[in-house]
Parts: sequence; C-alpha cells; structure tokens
Amino acid sequence: MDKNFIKENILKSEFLFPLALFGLFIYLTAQAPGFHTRARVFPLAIGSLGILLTFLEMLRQVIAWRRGRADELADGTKKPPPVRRTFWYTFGLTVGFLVGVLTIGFYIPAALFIPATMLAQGVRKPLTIIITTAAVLIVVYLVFGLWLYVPLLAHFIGR
Amino acid sequence: MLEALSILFDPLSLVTMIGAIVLAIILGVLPGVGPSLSIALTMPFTFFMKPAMGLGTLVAIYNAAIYGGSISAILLNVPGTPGSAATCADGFAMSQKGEAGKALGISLSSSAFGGLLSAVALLFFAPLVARFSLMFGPSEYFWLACWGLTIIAAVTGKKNFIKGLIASVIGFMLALVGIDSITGTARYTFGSLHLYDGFDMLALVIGAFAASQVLIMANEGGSISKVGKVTGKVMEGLVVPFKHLFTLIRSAVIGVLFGAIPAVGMSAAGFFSYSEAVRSAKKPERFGKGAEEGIIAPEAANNATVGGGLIPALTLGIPGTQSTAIMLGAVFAYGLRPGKDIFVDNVGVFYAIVIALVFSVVMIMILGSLGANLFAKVTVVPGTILIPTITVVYFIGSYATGNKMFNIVVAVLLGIIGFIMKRNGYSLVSLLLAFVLAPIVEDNFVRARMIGGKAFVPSFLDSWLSIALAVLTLLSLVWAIRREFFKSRKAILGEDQDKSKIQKR
Repeated sequence: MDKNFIKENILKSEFLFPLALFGLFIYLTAQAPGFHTRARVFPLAIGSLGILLTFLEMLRQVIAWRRGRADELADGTKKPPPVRRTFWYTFGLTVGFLVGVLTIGFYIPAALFIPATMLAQGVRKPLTIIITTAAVLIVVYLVFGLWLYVPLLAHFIGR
Repeated sequence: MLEALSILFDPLSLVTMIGAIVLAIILGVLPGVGPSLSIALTMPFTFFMKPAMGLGTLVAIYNAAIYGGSISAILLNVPGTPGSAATCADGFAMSQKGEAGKALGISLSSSAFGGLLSAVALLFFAPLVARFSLMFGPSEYFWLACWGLTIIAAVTGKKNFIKGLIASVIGFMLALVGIDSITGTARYTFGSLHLYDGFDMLALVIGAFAASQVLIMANEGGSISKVGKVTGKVMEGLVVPFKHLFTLIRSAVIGVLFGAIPAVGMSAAGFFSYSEAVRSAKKPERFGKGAEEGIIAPEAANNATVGGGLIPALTLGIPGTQSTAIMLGAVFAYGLRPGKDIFVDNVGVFYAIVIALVFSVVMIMILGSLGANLFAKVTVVPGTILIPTITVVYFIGSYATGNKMFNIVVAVLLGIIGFIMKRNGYSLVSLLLAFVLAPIVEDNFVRARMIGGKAFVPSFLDSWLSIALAVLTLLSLVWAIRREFFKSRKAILGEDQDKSKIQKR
C-alpha cells in the first residue's frame, strides 16, 4: 500500500469510522463473558455481528477504492462535501459550552457561546448578536427557569 | 353523556380546557418536557375541578402535548416527545425542501385522525382491546419486537444494507448499557453511576437528530430550508393523509394497540408504524428524504396511543404508557376506581374523558391550522441565528428529560457520531429503531426462556398469537430479502437494457 493510498483512503471517515467500531465491538464483545449467564447472550451475539459487519464494510470500502471512482463511497453514493472551517469552530465552541455548563452552570456559558458561535458563522452586526443572545436567554429563563423550574444553574454559581 | 356535555361545555370549563390545550401544545414543543411531565405539572390544578372536568382536561393535555412534539421535530429536527422521534427523518427533510407548512399540515391532520380513532376505540371497543392487551406475554412481546426489527432491511435499502445493519448494531449495543433488568448485572457501565440507568431515549434522539443537524448546518451554511423560502402550505398538507388512507388507518390502529399493550409505549408505536409504512411503500427509498407517509404514520400512531393507553388503565387499572400511569394516579386521587366504578357507577366521567379527547382533536386542528404557517417561517431564519439557538435548546432539552447533566454529554457525543454517520450514509432511523426495540427483544427473550425452559417451542411458541407473530416476522424477513434481491436484479437488467440501447444508437 503506497503512502498516497493511505492518505487518500484509509485516513478518511468512511474507513476510520467502521475501523473504530470494529475495535469497539471487539472490546465490548470481549467483556461479555464476564456477565451473568442470562445477561451475556445478547452482548455476545450482537457484538459478534457488529465485528463481522464492520469488517465486511471495511473490506467493501477497500475493494471499492481499488476499482471505483474517487468521488464515490463504497455504496455508490456521492462523497459528502469537505468539512469546512465553520464546522470546526462550531464543534470547538459546542465542546467549550459543554465543559462550561458542566462546571459553572448554564447561563454564563450560554451568554458567551451564542455570540461566539454567531461571530464564528460570520455575523458581524453587533445589534443582531446582542438581540439574539438576549432573546434566547430571556426565553430560556422565563420558560425553563421560572415556569418549569428546571434547575439550570449548577455547581458553585448556585441552584 | 348529557351530564358530561353540560360539565365540559360550561363557558368557564371551555376557557379552561382551551387554555390547557394551548399550554400543552407549547409544553409538547419543548424538548424534554413531553406529555407525562405536562400532565404531572397541570394535575394539581385539576384537583379543584369536578372529576369529569379534571380528568377530561388531563386527557386533552395528554393528546395536545403529543401533537406539540411533532412541531419541533419537523421544524428543527428536535423531537419534543419520544413519540415524534420517527417524524424527524421525513418531517425535517420536508422542511429542508421548503415544505415545512405542508409537513405541519400533514402532521396536524394525522395527529387529529389518530386521536379521533383512539377516542372511538375507547368508546366502543374498550373491553375487546383490554382483552387483547392481556394476551401479551414474553413470547408475544419478543416476536412483536422482532417483527419490528425486520424492517431495518427496508429502511436502509440494498445499497446501504451493511451500513444499516451496523447502525442497528450500534443502537442495540447502546440499549445494552446499564443494569440488566432481569439479572441485575451491570453491563458496560465502566464503574460510572451515570451509566447504571442506561441511556435516556430522548437524549439519544436529540443527539442523533438535533445535535448532528447543527453540525451539518455549521458545515453547509444557509437556513434549514435549502430553497430559502416556505413553499408548501398547511391547507395543502391537511388533505394529504387522506390520500394515503390505508397508511393512516393502519398507523392509528397500531397506535391504539401499542398504547393498550403495557410497557411498549408511543416511541415504539411511532417507529413500528413508520417501519410498516416503509415496508408497504412502492418506493421505500423515498423515506428519509421527505416522504409524506413518513410523517403520517408516526403522527397518527403516537396520538392514537392516548385512547389506546387509557383502555387498559380505565378498564383493568393497568397503565399502557407512562402518561396513562400518571392519569391513573389522578383517577385514584378523585376517589374513583378503574372498571365498574368508572364504566357503570360514574359513567359520566368516562363520557367526559371521551368527549374531552374529541374536543382536544378539534382544538388541535383549529390552533394548529392558525399557527402552522407562522411556525413554518422558522425554517427560513438564517443558520447563523439558528445554530446557537438550537444548540441551547437541545442542551436544555436533553438535560430536562431527567435533570441529568450526563444527558447533555450523551446528546453532544451522539451529535458527533450522528454527523459522521449521516455523512457516510449510515441510517440513524435504524439506530433508533434498534435502540427502542432492543430492550423488548432481550428482556422478553430471557423471560420466555425462564418460563418455558430451554426448549424452543414452549418458550417462544406458547400461544396462537405468538405463533402468528412468529410467522409474520418470518414472512416479513423473507419478503424484505426477496424484494431487495428482486429489485436489484431488475435494476441490473434495466441498466443492461439501457446500455444495449445506447450501443445500438
């Protein structure tokens, strides 16, 4: 296998995803014999099926690359558009928002997340950003905080 | 009957009921709230009312909240209730095509029909359906869920068959996480207390559909409607379900029966009726891309679980769904008892429940028709505003399902996995179908073996109903394989003929 083949095909999500699942299913199936006799039947059966299927999918993918066109997946459908920079910004901000919510509660991270995401998406009008942020937070506070009493503030900010 | 009518149609009662229905639709739209919480939140207020009025209001809330769940599923890909999870696939796809108004119209009349048919079933067939629900033991549950699983072949199609099966294996494995309900064994919990209860259904659905959609929108840009405007109108959508009358009636009947069978629930009813719609469609490949029947089936079914769930609850005191369990609590709180007490001694209460259900259907139609065109405008709001808004809503929605921070982590993780799966042609519907049906398959497989011993026949074919369901499962499997094989051969032959025509020219 030459370096280009590995870079163009193996290091793509259509191969890496079944590969990751293949490893995961092997690990999960290996855990199954440790369960109670009646609780291990389905983990063993379904896990083994998963190993077989992900292996077949990887095999299909490799065969398709050897014969097929570069713009198609193994099943003949068109390859999805490339991942853009805005995706990575949103993804990073979502993870940051999650960490923020888990550590300091909901409102402060949300007040930072909404304008940051809008900026990352290319919005440059301060009024649009301020109105959207305020509107979302007020509606969330009124509906979930005051009306439904969902405890959105957590940890050291209080409940 | 007249007594019930006079109580319910008193001006004050009418205003209360309409207010409750509006409130319930709003609560249904909010992810994580759902019908159970809506009933629980409003129940204390109904204790000041007469039993007929109070229980009638709760039934109206129940029905309206289920309908509300479809609005956010269609517009934002965030299901308000687990019952509308199956609506996401085709409802949101229609919104992306600019047909949000039409999709809302389809959901509206399908929900109304489902609610109405369940009211008829409650009024005329309560004893019959109650007897049917008692026929379900472990083997029947097992075969019923297996029958549902056979549809994965049809949902995914031949091209993506392996990927569809992989997606369903992921769904099945996710369902295995937590304490096994039969043996008490902790499976795949890795010492984390968060995993002991397993994954929450709504958090998974929100992650798979909403969170992944946000990432797709961030990557592709633009608004939800790819055409930049809303073309389909609500009125156009209202008549569509009646063009697919068989799908509509079948889905509503499935909803009534699934509602009546204890511990199956409306999400299973939604997915099962969806899968039946796929199975019976002439072109199953349309599903997931904005097929009308993809909205009709789950919406008719989930609203039909209302009346269906009330049948065993009011006749036998066995709640079919979580919401009817809360309703049953209200029945007891009013000092009533299921069975003779409601159907003979306080028959006015029973009629009030049925009339309130019908009234809620009428109000849903009126309110939904008035608001849907306005709601549909959400789909042309720029993605730059929707992305942070939907993210905030799905964070709260997944958290509110059980007030667990862990659910947000699950939703975000599923969002990432869902994004990768969607990009690579894996079916999220297959994943969720397997997740919903897996516990029913496994628990009842083990129960049937415990009751019947190791031999197959006494364990799994112990009644005419289990034999019938097993035969249906087998036929469905054979039919699906045969259809895919036949279709692929036809496609190959068609391609060959086309090639030879081109060569001749």
